[in-house]
Amino acid sequence: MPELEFAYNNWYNSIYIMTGTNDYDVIVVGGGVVGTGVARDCAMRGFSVLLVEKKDFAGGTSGANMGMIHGGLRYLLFDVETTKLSCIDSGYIQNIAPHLLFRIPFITPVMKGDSHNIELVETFMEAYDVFQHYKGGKRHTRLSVEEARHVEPGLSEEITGAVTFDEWGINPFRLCVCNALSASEHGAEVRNHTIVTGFLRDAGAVVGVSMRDTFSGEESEAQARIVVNACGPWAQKAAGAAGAEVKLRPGKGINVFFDRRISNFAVAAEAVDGRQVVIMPHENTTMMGCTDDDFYGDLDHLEATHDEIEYLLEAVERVFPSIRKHRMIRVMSGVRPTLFEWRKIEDKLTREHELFDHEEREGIKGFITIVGGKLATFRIMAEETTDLICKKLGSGAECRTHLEPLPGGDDTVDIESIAAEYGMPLYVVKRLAFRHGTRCRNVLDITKEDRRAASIVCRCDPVTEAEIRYVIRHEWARTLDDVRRRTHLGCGPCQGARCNFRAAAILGDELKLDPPEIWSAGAAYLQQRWKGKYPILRGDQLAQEEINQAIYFAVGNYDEICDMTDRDKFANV
Amino acid sequence: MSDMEYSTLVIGGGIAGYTAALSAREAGGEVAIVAGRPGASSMSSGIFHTDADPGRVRDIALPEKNSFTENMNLISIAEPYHPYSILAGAHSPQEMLRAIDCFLKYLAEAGLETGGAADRYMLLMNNLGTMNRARFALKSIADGDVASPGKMKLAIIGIKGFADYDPGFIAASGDALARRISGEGFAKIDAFEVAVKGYENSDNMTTTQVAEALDEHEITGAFAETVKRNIAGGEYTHTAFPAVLGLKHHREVISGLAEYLGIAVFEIATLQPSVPGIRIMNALRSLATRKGITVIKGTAEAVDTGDDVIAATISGGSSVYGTPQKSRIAAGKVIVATGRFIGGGIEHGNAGDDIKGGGAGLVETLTGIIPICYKGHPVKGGTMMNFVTPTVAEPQPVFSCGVMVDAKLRPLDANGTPVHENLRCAGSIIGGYDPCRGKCGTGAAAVTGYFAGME
Repeated sequence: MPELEFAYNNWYNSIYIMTGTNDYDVIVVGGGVVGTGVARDCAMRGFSVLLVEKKDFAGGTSGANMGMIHGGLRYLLFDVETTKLSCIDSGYIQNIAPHLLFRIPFITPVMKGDSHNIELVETFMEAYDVFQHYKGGKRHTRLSVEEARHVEPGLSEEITGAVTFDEWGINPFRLCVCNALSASEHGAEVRNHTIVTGFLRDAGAVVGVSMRDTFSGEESEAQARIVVNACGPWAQKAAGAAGAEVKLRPGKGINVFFDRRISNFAVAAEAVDGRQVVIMPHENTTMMGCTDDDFYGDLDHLEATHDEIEYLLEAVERVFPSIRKHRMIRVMSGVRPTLFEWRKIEDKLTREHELFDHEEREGIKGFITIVGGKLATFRIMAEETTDLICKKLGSGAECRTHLEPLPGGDDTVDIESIAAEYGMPLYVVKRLAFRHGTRCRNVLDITKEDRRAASIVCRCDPVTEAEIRYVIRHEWARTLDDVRRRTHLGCGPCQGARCNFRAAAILGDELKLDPPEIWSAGAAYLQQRWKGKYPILRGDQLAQEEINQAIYFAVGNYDEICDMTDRDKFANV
Repeated sequence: MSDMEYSTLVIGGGIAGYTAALSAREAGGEVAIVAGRPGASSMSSGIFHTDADPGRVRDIALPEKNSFTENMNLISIAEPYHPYSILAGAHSPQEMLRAIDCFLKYLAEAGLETGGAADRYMLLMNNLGTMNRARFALKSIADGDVASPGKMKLAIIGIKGFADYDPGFIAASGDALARRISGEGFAKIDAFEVAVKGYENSDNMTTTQVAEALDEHEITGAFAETVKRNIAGGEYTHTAFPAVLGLKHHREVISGLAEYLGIAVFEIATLQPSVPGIRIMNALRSLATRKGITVIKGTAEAVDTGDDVIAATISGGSSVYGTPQKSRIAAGKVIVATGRFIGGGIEHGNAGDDIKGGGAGLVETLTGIIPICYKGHPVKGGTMMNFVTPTVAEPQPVFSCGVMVDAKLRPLDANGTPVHENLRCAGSIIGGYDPCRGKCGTGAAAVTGYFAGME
């Protein structure tokens, strides 16, 4: 497992006071959407909770998906239960985090020679319509060729018809952070950049964890009545460390990002192997994904390959012929925590989740694993897990996670009045409210301390200095990559050209870093951005990257700066 | 379509293109230059990298102060595909240095003074809070050489609302770097932020906005007063400003500030849009016009290499014909200085990476017949993934890809034969070097431009 980044000793000591051994009712290992969801649910039901994440919230699978709480349309054929659960919970998530959601209208064009003709596709959508009301979705519409090409001009001339349907997109990074924030506000202790190094055992039972802060290197232990393994694709390894067995068949998926929105709809396309892939508008970009391949590599070192990218382009260009002319800005890789099954091809593996009570299975008391599922089912997974914990710890508390709003989701935001009140451009407040909901006021209050904080650091989104300061102060951001997850910093067409060094200086100011640490933070983020850029570095993006190279390597002299920082420490981000 | 004849036609209006046009004009004959949209040169920071400190780049122990000419000898051994190394077959290092001097002379003639020397590196601050080494720079930037920080009492002035430039961070980071590199910090370094009249309530000023504001005499006057008030009693030896001290009237703004403040004033390189880069391009363009070079605002569409006379088809508005139209310009020699990816001299279509579909890889856009090479081998058809590495701090081959040339700067085909006797290349369209990591972008542009024009 990678040792992460660099030591911010001083800051660390000022925040946490370690007391050696602590007692909790529940320790949740893993800060993805399920782990943060379990921590929230447990904390809301009155348990004392410690949430431990080795990297950052949404740093793994939860941050590398298509950002949808879709109803699981594609599981309808072989996994109806997942579709229904997804739709019901999608409805709940809309209630608790309305600010994080955006509607994504889909269009499924039918091509001559497709495996499904339009009648079949429409029948399929009719079946899906039954579930749409659970999630406030619209029913399907069948479009003629002319209608389809009118609403989505990018479609191929060779389509024979199309059917629309409706899904919801979400900001998965904010979803995880909001869950962690809510857990913390209900009394949970939340630690990121803290790796669990082992499980404490007592006569076969798991009674706690030993951990290490990856910044300071400080080791500590904590005891708990229940330890929850919510490590996603890492769950198998984590369970093994506790002497338990969880068998996964991890599936790697990549998503490619294009500059800006290139289609009105999310456009479904059939890949060469008959799988369905999609291009869809996502925030201020277009996302193309995703692949699904058995993964046998190192979960901590994912790299997209030429073949994976070409597979997606080949599929999409059939229905959306101009796709190769558009500008790819980034590729993102993730691994699905799919449950193990023999014989099935990857695409047909179930997306259902499973709760492993290791006391019942292997006699390991105090240890639970929750794994599988999908983004849209995280809340129900957390609820089932917490139900089991309640049963074990003798609590009758009921789940309220589908009723109580997540932080910032308690009310609608009047963008115009807030923009006028704080003297900020509308588009800045609009994007801020999307991420922070009603709490965008708390963010903008920082501009009252110092007006400089009103300036835009990342123009691609935009992200203000105030937002960067806010997420460092209130949302556990300790690296620029952490800031990126919470704010979308450096995720636009320039991929961190203008914002990196400025954000590093702000991070340094907030965390009281000395200049060499600030250079390290900048160099680490430069590498982090590069990781998703180099596999798709082609087309027009080469010119953008030439500018980035001029800023950081000609003028900024970062090759020399990188030498001055600890190369090994930032190479693995 | 009409025909015009020139002895030299330069395509591409960057530093390489203008240097080529000016040196061709000096050599005698009628010269035209086709300058379309701004390219990488307009983004120049005003710092002129000519050659990297070889001790740093190649991890070998070298005497501290390598001169440019000594470094040329080292590069010719270590980097055989570098245009410096290829030119070394026909020109001595001293001649190459003269080419750079000539480029600096052109800038001086155009009213842009430069500073620096061929036998040492200056240490120059930038708005990323770091420093880089260069032998030459615009004088306003070269005056900030951190040669002996222990003797500098420096006031770093920022501009309120121009947040890309954080004087406090630049001061703290610059001091820490000076300590690392020179072993001593600044005698004194402080940061101030000063408002520009009329922009007091702006949160997001850009470089050109500030520069255009400071072009106004009245605004600069008020600005200078505020700066003076701020630094009064600080006993500073230098004041540093972001490189935004005027776009049109930069000479007056900078000298006026220095005179009024009574201490040395210098500029710190900032991000794009780069005011020094715009100054450089404006200066070169007006010098070319003054010297009787025909500057054509347009785009070259094709180069006809069919017979002895070489010709280019130009589209767009031109100073020759007044109205937008297509024209065919014949010339005794055509110099292609169209740049790399920013300039558009080299392109890579996304489609070019589909190997199954016979993707073209990297292509030279103007003639379409000159192969793009990496270390002497054409890169046609390969996936771009072969030209990048996973670690950003390591050299990235894609940024060394370009046209192969011979010692006369004639582009070569896949067999190593000149494509055309009268075709030349200059600037970053030539491969074999990484202008950014090799810290030689301006130098290579000036040297290849000079010889391409002079030959």
